[in-house]
Amino acid sequence: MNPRSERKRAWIVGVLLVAVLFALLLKSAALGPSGLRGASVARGLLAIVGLAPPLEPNHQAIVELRAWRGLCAAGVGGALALSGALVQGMFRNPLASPSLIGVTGGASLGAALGFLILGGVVPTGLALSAVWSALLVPTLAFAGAAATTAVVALVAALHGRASVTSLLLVGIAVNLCVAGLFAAIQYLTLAEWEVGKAILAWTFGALDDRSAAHAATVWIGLVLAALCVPLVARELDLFRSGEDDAQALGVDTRRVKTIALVASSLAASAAVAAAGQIGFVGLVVPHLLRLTCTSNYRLLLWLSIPAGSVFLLGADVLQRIVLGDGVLQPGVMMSLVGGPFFLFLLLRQRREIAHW
Amino acid sequence: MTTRLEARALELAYPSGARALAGVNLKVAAGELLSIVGPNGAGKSTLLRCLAGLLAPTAGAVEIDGAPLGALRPLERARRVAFVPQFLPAVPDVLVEDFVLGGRYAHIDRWRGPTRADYEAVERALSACGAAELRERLLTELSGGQRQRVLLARAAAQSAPVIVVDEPTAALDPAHQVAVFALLASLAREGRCVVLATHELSLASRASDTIALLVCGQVRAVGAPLEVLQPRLLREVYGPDLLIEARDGGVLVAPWARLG
Repeated sequence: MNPRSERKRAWIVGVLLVAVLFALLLKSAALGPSGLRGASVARGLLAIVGLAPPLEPNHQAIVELRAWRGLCAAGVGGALALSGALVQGMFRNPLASPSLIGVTGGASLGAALGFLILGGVVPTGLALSAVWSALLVPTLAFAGAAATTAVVALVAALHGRASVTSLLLVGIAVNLCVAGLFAAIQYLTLAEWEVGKAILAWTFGALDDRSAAHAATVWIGLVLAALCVPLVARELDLFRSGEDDAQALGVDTRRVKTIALVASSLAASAAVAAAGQIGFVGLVVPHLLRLTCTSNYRLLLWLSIPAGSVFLLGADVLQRIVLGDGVLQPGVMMSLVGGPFFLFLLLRQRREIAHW
Repeated sequence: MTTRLEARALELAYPSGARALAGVNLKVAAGELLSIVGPNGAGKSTLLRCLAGLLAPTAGAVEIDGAPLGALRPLERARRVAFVPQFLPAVPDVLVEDFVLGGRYAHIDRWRGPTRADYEAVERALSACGAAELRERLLTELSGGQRQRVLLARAAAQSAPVIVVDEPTAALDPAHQVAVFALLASLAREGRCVVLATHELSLASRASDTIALLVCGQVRAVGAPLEVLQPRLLREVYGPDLLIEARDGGVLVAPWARLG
């Protein structure tokens, strides 16, 4: 493909994705069993930003809940896809996903700790206010994700040059440790029915009952990660012919790996903190873009954000239309719908995959 | 001629204590083509990576125009020396012209992107290396000879005064070997210093200004091709199974033995 036409195509796809995203956000706000329709939903949305008088309290609350759900889904999808694209670029491995660098495991461990504290299993002696109770799980999830990523990076760097392979192996080892701890917590809370249920439900991901704080968490993480994209995009393109080759061309490979690791971990931990574990988006969305549009990281990293948003929010809207509210959790749904879809694409375009 | 590239007392020891390089001294002038020859395991590739600033020597220093390579940041290093690997660790499915533009990385401003000067440098490098017609092909579709030309074009586009090339003719047929040596000689004639490692002694003897014979991490002999490629020295280093014949100002060296 000619680079000029590739760039043009990427722009068209980007604009289309953003347009679809806005349409989906509106559809998401109007979707639900309460009978609220068109004009009142629009007024409720405008009221959130202070441009219209609010609806009567019950209806206003419903519209706001739906708005946060939509914004959360869009932010989480975009953040996971960007994180996945960064990790795949850094590892030069099509199977890399955010969970590989310890983000998902660490976040789960942090969240589980949060549920233990909330459930009174771990006595802290603190009287948590309502706001803190709501923020405890996302905060600890974020801290857990950041901590595991830091451990992965530090351990890999201890032996001088942190090669991509050692990062990968250390990531696998740390993930194993974290998974062990997580399983231990689950086992020990088998008797604590409510706590165990909350921990288990969290691993399915959740998009319902989201607040403005959840939406803010994921969008702040996403924006901060996106700010790093110009610092690594051109470099990750040069990584495609090997780390040593990029180094010979003048790329500061250590700096690029550090920035890519921090940015992808930031985006993924914000996403996991806001909506729990939602697999698959980070792995698949970058591949969908490669198969349909471009493998050039200067375009791919940017496109992955709206593509991930449309992917997750679209799936959420679709299941709400087909199945009604909250029938399947997003993590489950992603696996059920995404797996076969991805398999279909792989079989159709085998040649492209070989040289991704 | 002024010295551009100088290696002084280069030592490289592996953690086990084995020495890959043991006190290597070399000087290369602008416009000079230096071929480093020697048996497998002599330390040629290690020496090249040190000369390109990609491997830090245990002791000694490499300087380009008086600046020690080890003290330069990656970008500054890449503006002074280009390295052409024997093979790419991975071959990405990019267009040849995009791949060659990668050679301009050290010159491209992060926020402004490539300028006209960068695209012109790519054009010049592609035509100089006879790869202009490959511009819109995918790198993954090229033959070995074409890919070698493209790798050299990328190094030429890097506009560095020093080019270091690791075994550029390995896996090429005779005609392509000749073409690659002619190309390297022309890159040197433009004023660069070109350093390569090779097993192709005959062509090296005709194309090089200087040949350095590396044995066990030490320079055994260095000088004009006819001085270094002496039958007695070559048989001592490579063993007896050689056909050696001085001809047309060069030396024909080929493996030759009764087999079976």
